[in-house]
Amino acid sequence: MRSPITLLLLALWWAIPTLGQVTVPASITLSAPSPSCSFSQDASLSFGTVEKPGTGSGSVAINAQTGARSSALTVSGSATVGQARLQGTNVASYTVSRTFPSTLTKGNDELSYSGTWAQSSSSNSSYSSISGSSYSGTASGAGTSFTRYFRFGGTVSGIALSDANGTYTGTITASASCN
Amino acid sequence: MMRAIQFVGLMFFSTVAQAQTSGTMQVHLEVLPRVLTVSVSSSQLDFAQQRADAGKVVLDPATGLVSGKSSGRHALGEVIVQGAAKGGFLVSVEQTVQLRQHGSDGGINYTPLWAQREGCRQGAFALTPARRGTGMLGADGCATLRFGGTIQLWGVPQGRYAGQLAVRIAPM
Repeated sequence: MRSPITLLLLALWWAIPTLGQVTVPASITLSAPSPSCSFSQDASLSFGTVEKPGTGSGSVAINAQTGARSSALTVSGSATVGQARLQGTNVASYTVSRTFPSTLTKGNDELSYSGTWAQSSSSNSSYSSISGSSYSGTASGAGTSFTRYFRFGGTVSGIALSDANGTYTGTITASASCN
Repeated sequence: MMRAIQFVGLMFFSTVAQAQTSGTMQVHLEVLPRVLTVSVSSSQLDFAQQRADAGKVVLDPATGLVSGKSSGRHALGEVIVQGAAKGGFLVSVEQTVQLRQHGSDGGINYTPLWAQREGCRQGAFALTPARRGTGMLGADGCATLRFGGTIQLWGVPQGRYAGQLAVRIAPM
């Protein structure tokens, strides 16, 4: 929402010529640039394909910082770390919050999911893990633009032979407030 | 000339400028069974009680019906195969199995028959008239195999005859 800062200045310029006075009204409107920001998704989070264990249970994880997948189970297919970018202009500071689902579901079937996330100023390196459900940062303010990258990973656990075959899905929600 | 600047009024309006944005991201995981998981759901293939001179007795694995007159409850053997949806597999069963009476050298020749169904929940069974054949997993990544067969009873001694049928299942 644009919220301009308006400075209304009324000045009286009073000139005193040799003979008499002239009054000149003047007004100036000054607008501070409004911050704007938006999220865009570069890649959804996909754990690929995992084979159920014959006995017991297993898990599959994707490291949010590196994007690497790990599992003691047999995995196949491509795995991708979730990636999104926050872009903005005229932003001095921002706060990003995320909500992870606690399960991935397939109909009435569920698998436990624990999400992790990380942030970086570069799209493909130097990601730092974020603890907690929100992250606050600063940008360079009015007249400039910025981009901050976020990665999403986590662990799906409790995968057992009794779980139904198929694709389990969930939804991660992220929101940002830019000032 | 003397010039003076006189401020008549100064008004300053300020509100907190803030922008909000949000987005969602999908998370996916595909879960599959092991390459092929074979489990025997019914190991009691049973021709029930037959007359010793009943002749050829057929236990049809597609219908579950047994030919001729018998008493008692007959049953089919059943095997569940799980794997990738629509994946193929090979099935091989023995040509003939000797059913033997405990403590006796006498036996009965048993010729297996098997039928299959794509999927594990519904659908008709199709008889596979061969010792070796191929099967296919259904969209649910599951297939059901049922086993019956044929025995020849021509004046065999009374008693209980039993044997073991080996079934080999391999992914294609």
